[in-house]
Amino acid sequence: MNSFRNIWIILAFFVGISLTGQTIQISGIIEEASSGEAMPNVSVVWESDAGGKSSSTNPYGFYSISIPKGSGALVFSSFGFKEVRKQFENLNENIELNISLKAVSTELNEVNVVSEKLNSNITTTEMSVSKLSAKEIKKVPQLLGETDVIRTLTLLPGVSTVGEGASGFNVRGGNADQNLIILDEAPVYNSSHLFGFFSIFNADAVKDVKLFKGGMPANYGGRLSSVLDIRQKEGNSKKFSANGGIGLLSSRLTLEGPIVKDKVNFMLAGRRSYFDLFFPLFDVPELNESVAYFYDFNAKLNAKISKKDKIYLSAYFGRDQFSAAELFKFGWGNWTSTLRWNRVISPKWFFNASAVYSDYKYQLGADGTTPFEWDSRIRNLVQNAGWTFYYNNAHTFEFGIQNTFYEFEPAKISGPIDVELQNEYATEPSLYASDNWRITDNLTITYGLRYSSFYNIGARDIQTYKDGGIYNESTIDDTLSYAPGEIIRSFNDLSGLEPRVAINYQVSENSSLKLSYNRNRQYIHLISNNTTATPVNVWRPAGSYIDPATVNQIALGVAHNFKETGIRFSIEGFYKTYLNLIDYKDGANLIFEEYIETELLSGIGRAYGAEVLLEKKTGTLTGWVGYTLARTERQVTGSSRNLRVNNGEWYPANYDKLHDLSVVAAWTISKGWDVGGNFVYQSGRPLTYPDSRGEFEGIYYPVYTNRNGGRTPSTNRLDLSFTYTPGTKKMNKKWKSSLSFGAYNVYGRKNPYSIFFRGEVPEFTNIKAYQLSVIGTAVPYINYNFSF
Amino acid sequence: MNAYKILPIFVCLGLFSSCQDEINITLPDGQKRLIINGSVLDNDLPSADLSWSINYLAEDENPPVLNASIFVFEDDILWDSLVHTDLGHYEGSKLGEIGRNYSIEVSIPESTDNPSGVWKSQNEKLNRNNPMDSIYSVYLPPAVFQREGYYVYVHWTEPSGIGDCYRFKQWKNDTLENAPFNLQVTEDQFFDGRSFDDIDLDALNVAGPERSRDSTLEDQVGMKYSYEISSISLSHHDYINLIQEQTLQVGGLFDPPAAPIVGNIYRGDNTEDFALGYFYASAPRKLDIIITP
Repeated sequence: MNSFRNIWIILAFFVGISLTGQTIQISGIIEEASSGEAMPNVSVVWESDAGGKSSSTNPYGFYSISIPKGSGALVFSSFGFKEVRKQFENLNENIELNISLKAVSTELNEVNVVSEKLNSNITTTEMSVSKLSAKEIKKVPQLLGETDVIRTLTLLPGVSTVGEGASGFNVRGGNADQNLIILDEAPVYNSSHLFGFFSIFNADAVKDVKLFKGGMPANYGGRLSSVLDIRQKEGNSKKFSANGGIGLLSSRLTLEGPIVKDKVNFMLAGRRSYFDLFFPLFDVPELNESVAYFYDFNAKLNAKISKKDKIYLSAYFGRDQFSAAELFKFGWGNWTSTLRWNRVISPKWFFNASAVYSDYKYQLGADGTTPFEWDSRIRNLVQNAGWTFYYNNAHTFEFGIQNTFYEFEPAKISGPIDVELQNEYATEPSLYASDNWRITDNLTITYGLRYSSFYNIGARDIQTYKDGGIYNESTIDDTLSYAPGEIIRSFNDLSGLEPRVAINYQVSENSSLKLSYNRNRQYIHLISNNTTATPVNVWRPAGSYIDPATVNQIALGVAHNFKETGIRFSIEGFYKTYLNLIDYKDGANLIFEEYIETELLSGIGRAYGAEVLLEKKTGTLTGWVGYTLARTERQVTGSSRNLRVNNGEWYPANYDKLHDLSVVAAWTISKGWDVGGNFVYQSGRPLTYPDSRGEFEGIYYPVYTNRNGGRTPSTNRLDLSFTYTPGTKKMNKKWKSSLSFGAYNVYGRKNPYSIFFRGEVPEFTNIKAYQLSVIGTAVPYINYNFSF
Repeated sequence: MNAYKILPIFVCLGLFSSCQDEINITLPDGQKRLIINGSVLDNDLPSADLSWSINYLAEDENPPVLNASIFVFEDDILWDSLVHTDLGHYEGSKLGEIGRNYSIEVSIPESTDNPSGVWKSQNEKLNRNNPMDSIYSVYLPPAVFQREGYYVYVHWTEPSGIGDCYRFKQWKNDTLENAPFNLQVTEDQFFDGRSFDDIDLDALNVAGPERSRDSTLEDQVGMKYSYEISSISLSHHDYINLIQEQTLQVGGLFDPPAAPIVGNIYRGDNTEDFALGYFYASAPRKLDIIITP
């Protein structure tokens, strides 16, 4: 109840200071002209003789700017869109002004129009943030031509993967489970199709992507390393349109349009792979009874129910399915749905509320003589309520309340025997408040505080152990039973405070210095000791024996724009320390383990490094060069050999890579031809090599004593794509199409994913070393894309 | 099982054009450790094989230990001594008894080349086991994921009471199938007290036709299959599981991490200084069958 009282105090404070405002407020929604999509991050600048003021749109396209009474011009601009300028004379009352921005055409001589807003990165406090539009993502060549949000992100500095085909991504030394991936505010627990080769996000359904590597705003929480905020398209509110593509791996189709023009509109997108359709060509009878495919489906419905209210209903459903007749079957998938309500309360107040359901599950099984099913899932119910208060041009306050309810079903087996692990339940309430304070024209600070707590609740039986801190079969003391809803363990002390600060000092029109600090807490963990996470890894919450993990990160950066060339440059250094990171005992058995604490260790971590980004967003040649120099290490100390790692010394994490260089370029050669290319160079990743050879009853086995003491050789790769778009001169032509072709890993380099050892069959005695290359050759592709 | 036909295709689908290339690599020579593999059985003499660890890529066999003194204890009382009979192989003279605890002590005298000292194992209980009820073969015609041939099955009832562990071994024409993927162990949590008799649960599938495309139905006729079920401890079960996991790594995306394989034998009382190998107690039960048309 204290939480609610605190909210009312905060509300009263903001209402009180809002009454003291003496300026005129201009507010409204900014939409993209052709589709009616709300546009986030649009720059709104007031120009007058008395001085300038600036603001920008929030994620829902809403802006509010305080200006003095009098005359001036309001300028709206965003990359890739024609600037809109509105002149006002003798303003003396609040105005509601909705704006539509038109996209700049692809005519080569018009690209300079957008270069004026090059400096948006200089004026904002945001740092360690990467934004990508669907358009940018589609320009990047990818494996089999499948446009891929996650793979594109890994080309940015500070973002990497363990290797080709690895599931998930690593941000500034964080595990893959430390990334909060949200799709229209709904958490996504597995972002991979086909075991990690492709992401589940259909780029045709994606509006924009924003990745926070640090300096996270206070409204985000629950993960240590990053927030990947993906927004689905809202659908075209002006006219019906469709686009799609036919590729070697999959085909896709997106439909969008108005149901009631400018009031109710929809977006539907679907994608399905079809390599299983080619099974008959192999002439293997077993394949005819086999299944191997993935699909995903995105939907969104928006309704403007009044001048001030808008409701969104969005959903995602995707699945991977593999089976070989009755021998085995295996499938996994996510289902998310979001109901969101936006209300413009007043010119100074904006409100967003949402209710979210997220469900990730996987199934294993067989239908043969001994049929069985193995099910596992994690479900969420999330409620958000957030307010934005545009007090004046110096202060924009945001505050809100959130709650996430978790239900974990680690394993349920049905078949000849029925057996299951106990479900776990938890709830994570949190509050946040922040202020974007423009102290002077050159100095801006965004400061905020998030408070999160966590309650692990029954029903559940918990083992107790005799010897404090040592959890194994021999130290089990007793079993305690908790009733449904009864609190097993709560985390609601001051450790849940998560301060967030970001400072921007604008040195000149084109340069700024930035500093940020953030503390994040994570209460749920993906239990996985594989090199890369698998679809069958389960999430477990903090509880009796698992503490929440915490990170403190500080980052310092410089941003500079070369206005003449349209090139942005930034360099950032970061240092992170982790507490209570989960690690695993040597040889831990994580499958069907009720008392998972018996297999876990707890450790600390650190990551530090520097990231350089040189990017060009305008002109016929666009792209970026990103370079990361970083280290990420772990330390697990314990009282005995099996409770520590590498004798308690620091050791590199699985994804530690000292150098990571990416060069991404898109070049419009002529009016019909575009060329895209990526070049990637990375240092090798850590590996554990055997120190000697043991033997058990004639079987040789490796003796390991130095975890991650070795390293694979470095990797490099070049990808190329060519896109031909016929008839671009006829812009009003309804049917538009393009043909893309290219290759991944053009020079067919066998990049080492790992080095392993194997004895020769059948005796397994003559042991040799082998290098595994996940994609050891050039992989060509061809795609046909269309829209009408 | 014709799964071999389809699995490579699934692997290709999963890994596209993945490839494995043999490479030259130099591995470190880690600390030299004593390897002790010993056992006490209820139907055969106790034995132990001793050797030294060597470089993982060495082409030689692990060098045997010829000068060890070995004692076996029953419920912590000296019970038998093992004598050297062959290169690194030592044998005793007694049969173990179900329900008793056994341990081994190995002494190596000082030398300039090898470590010396006294290594002791933890106690291993010789656990109960039921004899197998029967072994039989069945001819099965070709079908999807099933090669034509003779399939061998065993009927066996697991003793009632949860907490038992077992190891399964099979021989073909008296040769033990002893590659890492032949290591099979299980706990009884999913079939405690139940019968693998084709009524309660499916019979245990022991063997089937060769995977080789060249093998024929006639090749199987006259072949002798032997199957053994041994009771083992949970600790030994975990040890064998770990050996299989660590030796069958393929460097793939989902490989478990490399982990030290530590058994139940330590130098002195220092659990930080471990020997390699394992000392176990077991009650093995074995049956044979010769395939007839």
